[in-house]
Amino acid sequence: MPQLIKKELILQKKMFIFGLLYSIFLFIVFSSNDFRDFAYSMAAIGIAYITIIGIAQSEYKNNSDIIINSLPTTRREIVAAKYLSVVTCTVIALLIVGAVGIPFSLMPAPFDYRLLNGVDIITTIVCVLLLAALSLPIYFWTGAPWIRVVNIVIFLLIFFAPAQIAEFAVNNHQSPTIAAITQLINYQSWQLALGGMAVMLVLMTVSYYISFCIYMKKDF
Amino acid sequence: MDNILEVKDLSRSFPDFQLNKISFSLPRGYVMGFVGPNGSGKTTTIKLIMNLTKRDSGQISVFGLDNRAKERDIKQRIGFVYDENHFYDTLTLEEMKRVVAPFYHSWDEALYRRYINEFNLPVKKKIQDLSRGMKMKFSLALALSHRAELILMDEPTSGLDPVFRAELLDILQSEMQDEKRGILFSSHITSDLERIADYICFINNGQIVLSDTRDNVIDKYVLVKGSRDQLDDAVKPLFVSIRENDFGFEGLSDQPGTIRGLLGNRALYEKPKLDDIILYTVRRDRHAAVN
Repeated sequence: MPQLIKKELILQKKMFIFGLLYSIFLFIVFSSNDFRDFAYSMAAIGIAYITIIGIAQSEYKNNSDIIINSLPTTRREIVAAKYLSVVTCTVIALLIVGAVGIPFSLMPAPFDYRLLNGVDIITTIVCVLLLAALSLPIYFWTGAPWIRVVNIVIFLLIFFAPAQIAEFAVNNHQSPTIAAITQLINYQSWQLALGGMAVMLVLMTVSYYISFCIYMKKDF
Repeated sequence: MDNILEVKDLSRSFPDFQLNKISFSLPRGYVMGFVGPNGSGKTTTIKLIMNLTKRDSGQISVFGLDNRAKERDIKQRIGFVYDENHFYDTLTLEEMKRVVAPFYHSWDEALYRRYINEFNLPVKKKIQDLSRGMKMKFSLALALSHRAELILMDEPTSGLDPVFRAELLDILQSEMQDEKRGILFSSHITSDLERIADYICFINNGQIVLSDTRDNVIDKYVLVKGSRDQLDDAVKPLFVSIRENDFGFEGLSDQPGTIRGLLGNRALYEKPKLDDIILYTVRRDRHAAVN
């Protein structure tokens, strides 16, 4: 297992150099923007997403499953390592954006960002795990091309669904379900974030089990 | 004799192809040439041995151990060289080595360095920038650097120029001086196998046609040339298959004694090459399939 994680880190290494430049770019673009509060999360999610997709495509292009499965390891470990690598990838992405944020926090307006906080960290983890939980079973089933399709759909949902949901909520504000959801939103952001984390962990476990079942039956 | 690899009644069905109860064994200390036309089942067999593909039935025993139950232990002792590059081609050789080496308990870094120097491999170059021959050599360096006892090679010489092929075969020959090893070498380039293989296993249409020592395989057959009027009903069934033209016939027989007795010195007899054996056998099987 540690060897497989190391493999992922070697493959991720070059992506993180890109991630560093990407987060600087994002911090500059978002400096005088309504989204500046989300700059840390958006940069970290972007880095993690690009890295995970980049590795998947590299593995698909070279059919590298053949090499990895020829090494002294097991399919169970290969699947588990892929999920763990999503976590390592997210942690490294957060370290990068956290580090990039420090010099920005010392700059004059409009570049005077606050430092990375707990909500940024949890938001990033929840979003990346959601992407991974939905896309990794597809990857283990069909390979990299379909991951992109799934992720584009998820991204579109993230961007367009909130407006539609808000409109629906306004139009149906007397519905008991909407009232319950509104009450839920009134909780503290950290409570919501922790709840999201718990849901994500369950989702990741289910996703891992599905991926494992798919991969065990696969022919290379 | 201690068999390093034993395959027994191995079967696997695909929609368009079936590997049908194949059996063969490779004794320790020898090279087996796994030969057959394209699509005959060579790669499928190697993938089944490596557990890259699931079998329907049969047994595969490597070092006397079941290849599924003891997969990890067995793979510690297997080296592999595949026909295509499956390495991450954006990595350098050094980076790819850092991916592979930690998996092996018996990885020998000094030995790896020796092979890298011997094969003149540029460790800082990306895999995608290497020639096919260089990729093969790198693959072989990785396979040998953890002191693999069984080396599986799937068409390692296909697409290589004659100089590279000769070099690769020289390397394998020198490695086989250590008699603890075994090599299963799949190829359809029979001249390579004639040069290094001690055993020949010939597969066609998912079935093993023959599996024996190279000398026994060659001695089992005779190539016969003669005039067409010699091909009567008593003689024809003695041939695996026959090629006829206006000047006469040429055929391969697996009953050399009987055919010599019938045709005497009216025909010419030659020792066949592996190519002849494959060609005539494939022709027979195709003819049988058509009829």
